[in-house]
Amino acid sequence: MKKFTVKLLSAFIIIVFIFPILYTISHSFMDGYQLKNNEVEIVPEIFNIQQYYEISVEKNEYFKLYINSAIMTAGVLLGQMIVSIGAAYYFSVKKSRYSEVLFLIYTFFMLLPLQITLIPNVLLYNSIERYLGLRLFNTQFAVILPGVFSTLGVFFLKQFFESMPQSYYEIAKIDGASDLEILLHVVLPYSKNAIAALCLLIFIENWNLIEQPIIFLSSMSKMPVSIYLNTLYSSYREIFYAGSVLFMFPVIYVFMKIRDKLKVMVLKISDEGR
Amino acid sequence: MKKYSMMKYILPSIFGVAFLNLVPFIIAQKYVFFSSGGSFTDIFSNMGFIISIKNTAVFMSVFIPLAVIIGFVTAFLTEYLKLSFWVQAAVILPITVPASSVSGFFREIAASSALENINGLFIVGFIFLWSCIGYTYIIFLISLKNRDKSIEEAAYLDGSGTLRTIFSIMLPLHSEALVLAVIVSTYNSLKIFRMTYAIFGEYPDYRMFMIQNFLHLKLKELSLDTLMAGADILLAFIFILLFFILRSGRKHKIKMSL
Amino acid sequence: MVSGLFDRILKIFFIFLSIVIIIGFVFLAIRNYIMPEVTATKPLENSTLIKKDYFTGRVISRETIEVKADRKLYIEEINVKSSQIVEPGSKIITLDMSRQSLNTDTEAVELQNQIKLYEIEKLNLKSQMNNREASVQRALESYNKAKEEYESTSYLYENGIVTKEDLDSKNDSAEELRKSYEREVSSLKSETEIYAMNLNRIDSEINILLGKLHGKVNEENKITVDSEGVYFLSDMVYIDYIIDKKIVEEGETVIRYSICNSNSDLYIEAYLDRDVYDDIFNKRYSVYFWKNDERKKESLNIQSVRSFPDHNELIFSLRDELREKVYISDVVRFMVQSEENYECVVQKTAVVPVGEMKSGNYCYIYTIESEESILGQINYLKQGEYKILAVGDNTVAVEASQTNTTRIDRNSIIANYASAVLENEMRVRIIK
Repeated sequence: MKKFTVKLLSAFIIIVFIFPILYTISHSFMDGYQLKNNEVEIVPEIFNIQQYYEISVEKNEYFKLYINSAIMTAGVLLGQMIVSIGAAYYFSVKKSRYSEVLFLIYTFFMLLPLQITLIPNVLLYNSIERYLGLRLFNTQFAVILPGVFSTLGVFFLKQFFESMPQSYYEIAKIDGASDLEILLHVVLPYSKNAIAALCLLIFIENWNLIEQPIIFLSSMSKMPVSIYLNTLYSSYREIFYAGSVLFMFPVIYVFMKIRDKLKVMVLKISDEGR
Repeated sequence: MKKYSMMKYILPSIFGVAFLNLVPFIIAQKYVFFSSGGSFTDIFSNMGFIISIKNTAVFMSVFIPLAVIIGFVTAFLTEYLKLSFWVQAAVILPITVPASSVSGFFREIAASSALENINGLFIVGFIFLWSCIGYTYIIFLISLKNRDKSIEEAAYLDGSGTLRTIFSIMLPLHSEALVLAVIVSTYNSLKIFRMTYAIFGEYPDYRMFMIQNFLHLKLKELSLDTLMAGADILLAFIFILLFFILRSGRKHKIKMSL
Repeated sequence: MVSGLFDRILKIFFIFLSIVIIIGFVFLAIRNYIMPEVTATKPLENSTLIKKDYFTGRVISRETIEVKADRKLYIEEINVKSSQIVEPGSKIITLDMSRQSLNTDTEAVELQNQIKLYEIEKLNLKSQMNNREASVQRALESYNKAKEEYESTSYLYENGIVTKEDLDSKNDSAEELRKSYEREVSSLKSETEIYAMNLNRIDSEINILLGKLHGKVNEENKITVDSEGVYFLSDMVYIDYIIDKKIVEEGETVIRYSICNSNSDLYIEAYLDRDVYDDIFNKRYSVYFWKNDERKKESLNIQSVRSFPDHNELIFSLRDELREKVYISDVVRFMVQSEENYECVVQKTAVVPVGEMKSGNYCYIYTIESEESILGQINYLKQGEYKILAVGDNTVAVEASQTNTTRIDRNSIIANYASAVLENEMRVRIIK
């Protein structure tokens, strides 16, 4: 009896959480006729891949925007790696009042809603354009730049770097390693999984950018897919679902690949905490 | 100079954060404090602002605890009932899914006649729960896997019932995770704008009009006085919230993440 | 098991999605980079056009005669080709005599039967004649016999053996026989005459039938046929059409020809569209013509006009000296030239005509529009249908043919070196 309720509960939870995704995937295999039907339907009448054909062969502007999304995400990822690792390293090693206050400020910034941080960005870009003559609006750089300096990465990595046993650090120091060498050869290999998890988080976050492109980009050719899908829903609903699935695909794929590493990381954190 | 040799690691980050966020923000305060009319009074008389604040407050006070609780319950069940790996994957999966992809589903749900009577805010709340429980779930799962079972067993041996055990022993033990979960949920609740935008567009129904919507519209118009005033208010709010959370965390013992 | 299957399904699904993405990128690259290249020009400032219209015509003769078969014909050999000029007396067609007479054609059989009847009649008459001659001969013999009997009887009388009555009766019967003999002779004479006449008649009938059997004799069309079944004409003709099969049914046209004994029979015939006709006839533009490669242009006078629903035929008369230069069925070319102002003149290389590049026909001109889209700034072609008003050497004057075709004005950008490969809404890359 208990086993049955457990199974039922599991099934219930699974269905509730996966349902929207399944819905989207199943709709991507419907053809245009069924999509015009405004009722809520779950199973496609005829299983066909016409949507995918249309989106890849005929309406493949979508892929140009896909590249846009990829560029923006990759840009932020790269930048964040460089910037956040350094900052987290600093915070984990340096334990002074100043660094604590600084970290508090960083946490504070992390929690700010995007709209608030966007305002200073916009003002900054405006003055740069006016005084330096550089055109920042409507470029993808304008979107990447704030993302690179987002403090989430610093927060996350600092926690993890701190959980590294102090002994590693001291041994390396005794061996005469410089700070840079310690960072590259001790801290980073240790926190491979955490960095991978952070990458995943940043990837998810930036793949899904919505607020910044609306403000910073004006021409449709530079938009990421996340915005495009919204316009697609009203204009070309036939390929909306295929586009949604293709858009979800990299994130889910990366997630599935990393999930094993995540499991290891979870266990490691639990081990350390004990 | 060893003291300052570490500085170079944080320099780019500080530079970026400062220039991109801090400095312009401080400079922009002039719009608020030195504007012609008192923009604070302006903003409080703006109906949209009032509504958005009200909505946001309701939303956060209802759904953040809900996210934490449901996350905890699900993690608890997963741990104690040894629910399969598929359940874990299923709960975590929604956090990876982009808002635009599932907006189709939510649009159709929201548009269907069955939900006309339900307050729009609850629809948004439900969507928020769906997409964010994964985070609290992970946090609690880790914490649960970490725990020291001995205290619990001692409590059971002492004869306390399950519920009492949970409330008086487990929760305090996991207070660190609790704090983290609340922080993360707060963070995500501010991100709900993405879902709202993807599903309902820039001008949603007034019942789900939250402060980010308000700020977003003002930003598009670039009317900086009200914008900065609203931003300042929000900032103060978050500041206070953070302060309280951290203090209660400190109160509930155990070393904090700071 | 279940999880293994699920993993496999998931893997297949992911591979499928990757393939879709790859295909999408490939097609994106194709769309973006593989575009036809065009050069861009604008309409011409100078909008005068020297309009030249060319058309062709033929040298024809005044009269064309058509000959049809009046019965089924079997042809052995066709001795001429169409478009050929034949001398008088040349062979046109040779009939296959063996089949022509031994055929199962009912008419021929009937003719032959008739001929046979006539032959039989001739034989009958001859035998009648023979009978008549035989009877004359018999009468003569009878008379001679009676005469001998009288003489022998008169010898006997003189010797007192037979009486005078016996002698007189012998004399009377001899006299009778002599009269009947003479009657026979005279009737023979008249019968012989009649017989000769009948024979003539029958013979000529037979001849006529034979003639019918072997071919047609047609006086008006000057086609003659001889006994061997050969047709020939007695004039110099230009063969417009000659039948090309060996068996001709009754009523089919066998040959059509024009007589061209002399150049005074020749004219030039040209088919013209209404506009050009108006230009020549009403505006009195000059018409020049030349034959194939000859550069020299001669002017022509209009002789007569024939109107048809879709075109007009102008008959130009040839001056005598020109007549020497042309032969019937020559193809000649004409040109009408004028200089006029037009509102919209473009380069000839920008025009893709539907059919021939001449005024009155329709053509396509591609204007280049640019637009901002998701793929960046794209140039695409807009196809417009225009009517060709006039054709110059390097330029063409056009006007919009439908109300929704874009007007070409000073600022339009037109694709030059337009070809039939270009299409409406096609993306292009502009090269200078």
